[in-house]
Amino acid sequence: MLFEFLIMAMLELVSIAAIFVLKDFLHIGIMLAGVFLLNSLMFLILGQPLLAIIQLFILIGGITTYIVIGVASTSYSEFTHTNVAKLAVASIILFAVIAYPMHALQFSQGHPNAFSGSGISDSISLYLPLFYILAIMIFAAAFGSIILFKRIGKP
Amino acid sequence: MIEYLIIFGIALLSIGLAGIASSRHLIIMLMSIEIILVGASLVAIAFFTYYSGSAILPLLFTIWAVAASEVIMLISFYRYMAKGEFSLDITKLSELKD
Repeated sequence: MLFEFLIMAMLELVSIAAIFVLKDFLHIGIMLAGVFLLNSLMFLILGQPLLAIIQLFILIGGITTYIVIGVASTSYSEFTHTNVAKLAVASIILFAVIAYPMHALQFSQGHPNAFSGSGISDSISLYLPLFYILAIMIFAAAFGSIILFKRIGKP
Repeated sequence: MIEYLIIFGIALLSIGLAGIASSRHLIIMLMSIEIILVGASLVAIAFFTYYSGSAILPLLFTIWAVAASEVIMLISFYRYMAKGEFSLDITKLSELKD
């Protein structure tokens, strides 16, 4: 399990690096889709296939398609969009600062529900109003964007 | 195993934050935010798997909802800027104040 996780993590980091290096937005969109796919595969490794599929639908089916259609169809970055050296240094410093307290933590083993999927159905019924609010939030964003698109269409 | 997942989540958070700080393009910054949210969802699923805290699931759905909503709104904004012939270099956004 750890070996598969490390392979996925390495591939995900390579995909993320490609996002900041490439200039063509079609390729950047594909790389972002790769990041989402590898993250979903990590969910699968952890024994949560339902959540992996939901994430795949939302992130790749929705977001990546939207980015590819909305952005990649029209553009190519005409300037160097990312200072890669600054990115690398800032990432390492931030990682060191945020991850440093981790070495003092001891994780006790809880009650894992890996490979069983238990807990999903309970929490979905328990927090149903929250999910309705989230659905309304996405609907409002989508509706607002359609109105914006219509306004953009008019000179 | 959960330690590795949290460390990797922190790595994704760091790369995303550094990406926002070091990029000038609106869409690259948007993708940096997506990377942060992917890291957050990974940490959430790690806790959900190893500690079976059912309260984490709404957090996970919230992360996905925020990711979807901000992409929808920012891409609308991007189309507006691209159509209006504004520069997509965010250091030149001060031109919008007129």
